Amino acid sequence: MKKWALSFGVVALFVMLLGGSINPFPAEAQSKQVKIGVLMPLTGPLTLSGTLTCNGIKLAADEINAKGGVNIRGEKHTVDLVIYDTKCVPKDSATATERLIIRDKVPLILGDFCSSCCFVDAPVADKHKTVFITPVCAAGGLTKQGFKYFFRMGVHNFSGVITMMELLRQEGIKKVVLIAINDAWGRSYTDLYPPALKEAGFELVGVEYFEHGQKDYYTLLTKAKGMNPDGLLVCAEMEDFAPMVIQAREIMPGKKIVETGGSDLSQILKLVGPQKAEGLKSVSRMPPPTPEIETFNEAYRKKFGSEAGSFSYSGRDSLYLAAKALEKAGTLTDPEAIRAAVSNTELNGFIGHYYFDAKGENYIPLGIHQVEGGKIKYSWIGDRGKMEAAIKKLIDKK
Amino acid sequence: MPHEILQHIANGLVLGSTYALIAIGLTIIFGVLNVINLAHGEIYMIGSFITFYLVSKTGVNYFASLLLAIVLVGLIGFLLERIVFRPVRESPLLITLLASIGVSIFLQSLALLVLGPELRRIPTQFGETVVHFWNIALTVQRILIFGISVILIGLLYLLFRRTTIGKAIRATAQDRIGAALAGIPIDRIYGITFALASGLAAGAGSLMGALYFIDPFMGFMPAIKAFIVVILGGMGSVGGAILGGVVLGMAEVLGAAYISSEYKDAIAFVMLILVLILKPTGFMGMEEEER
Repeated sequence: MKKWALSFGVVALFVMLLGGSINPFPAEAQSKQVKIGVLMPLTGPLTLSGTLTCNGIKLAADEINAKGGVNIRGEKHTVDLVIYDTKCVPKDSATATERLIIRDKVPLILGDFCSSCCFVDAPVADKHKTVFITPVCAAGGLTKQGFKYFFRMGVHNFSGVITMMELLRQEGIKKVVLIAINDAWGRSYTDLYPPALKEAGFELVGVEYFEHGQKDYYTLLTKAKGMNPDGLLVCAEMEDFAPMVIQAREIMPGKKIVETGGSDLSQILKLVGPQKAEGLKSVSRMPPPTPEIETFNEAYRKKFGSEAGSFSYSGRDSLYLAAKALEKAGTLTDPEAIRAAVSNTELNGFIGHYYFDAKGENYIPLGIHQVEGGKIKYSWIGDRGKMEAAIKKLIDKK
Repeated sequence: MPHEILQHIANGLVLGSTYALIAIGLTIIFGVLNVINLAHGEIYMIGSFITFYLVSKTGVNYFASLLLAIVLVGLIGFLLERIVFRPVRESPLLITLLASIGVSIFLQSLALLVLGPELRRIPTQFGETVVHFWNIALTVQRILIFGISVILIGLLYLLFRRTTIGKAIRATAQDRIGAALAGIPIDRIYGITFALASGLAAGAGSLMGALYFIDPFMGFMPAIKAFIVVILGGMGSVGGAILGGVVLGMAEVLGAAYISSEYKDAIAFVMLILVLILKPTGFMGMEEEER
């Protein structure tokens, strides 16, 4: 019985593999395609964040294809996304990057979500001369290592820090406990915030770390409570921020909590409810609603059955910029031409106006997101142009 | 921070009781079936999803859902033993490990497919009320977790000590061949043990699912912690799992509170290494006799 089952299994496996590679119904000459690689955490502790971003890219691909696709030297190409799940694990992300370049032969890659992954992906992309655009990674160090083919559409750390100083001042928070995720992104903030806080005259009374998917923050929050801060400055993605907010409300009811931009407050509001979310503030890339964004939201709701978030907009913007750059380059096979085109492409995306400097860096400033009366409110602190200049100065200085 | 220590101890006990609950299942599966079940975390996760579904979609009350989830997942555990682990019972350990990894990936993917990546929480009307005493703040749900864990462990103790089935399970764990010779139906005992272990894990998942958010991957970390607890306490020892769970919970909390939150996970692994070096059979493990 066992032997028979084993043979059957082997034959079935063989047939499946063979069947998968032979197409009995060859289609007529298909329209041309442009393959775009996508790296996102679609499983693991950042599933929600990664899926939001990836869905934004998918919807953008549908939109672009509905309008005829990408126009490369007069020929329409449909966007074909090649998506790999990296789980926010750096070595899986690096392997997937290589696979996209070597096996799938993509001319351009969008991803990853985690800075820790981008740090290992960028040198791989550079080695193979493939443009690598991150829609969301924020760690400052990514554009300081001289990766020619790496471009950042996420919002730089500094942008978050500058805006946060203003927000803290506005909130009247003087004593701060910094709570950060223990990875490359979180640590980029535990490097930046202490000197920035000191310079701006705030008192940092403690720095605490947590891990992805930790879920229980009682110890950390109890410790923070003992330090008697005016507010908690948190660097967390929404999968971690949501339970943390709930537990913080239990241990320190009424304590001010500000977040540095890793979470989308509109999602947090949904996850923890209006009562617990009340008063939360974050520096945010989320734009105020416009008719174009509303149309996108509606299409997103229809396609995915859930609400888009700011990460979806980032994903969407990254594909639109990539498409625009490829059209400008007029080629899918000349890496230097593609790189030069991306470097010179500007886009008025949902999140803001993108353009890259010589290091592949952008200077989008962040706004403020807050939950008031059960609703999300958007606001700006200071002059947008001045903030861009300040960010540029900081980035160029360092 | 001396006035915070009571809060930390309370946190440690709550955390420890959940570790113990998950670890007990893992240790009895090892003790009786000699199987290292890498899918235990996913069984925990399925338990929480079933409770979530019952409470939020069909309106069954939380405690009834908890019980139903324990029973349903117990059944799933029984079937898993039959379908996945029995065919590979005589195979090398590596094969059973691989089989359990397969189950783990299957359950995670199934959950992701059916329920999607959205975060959910098991709603309870009372769970979020904060209770204050002795300078400690605990939500009702946390007190429940501790209380129900103690009750479930107590029931398991009664089962093992006072019932025939319990004695049969212990006999099988001690000496499989001897138990078979004494007329104990080994196949059924294996199935029942797996069902028990799975039920306990589902109970833990249902308790935690009302405290934290649930997602298809929530079982990964608790399973790792459960393994550490099982090794700390001694593989196959239920008392060891309880002690190990409490020790790990307290060590993590107090370590994070008074040493460093950055290296909190490292503390668990350092303890593991120390135990493996100094007393490899665990706190309450006994020297393995040749079977």
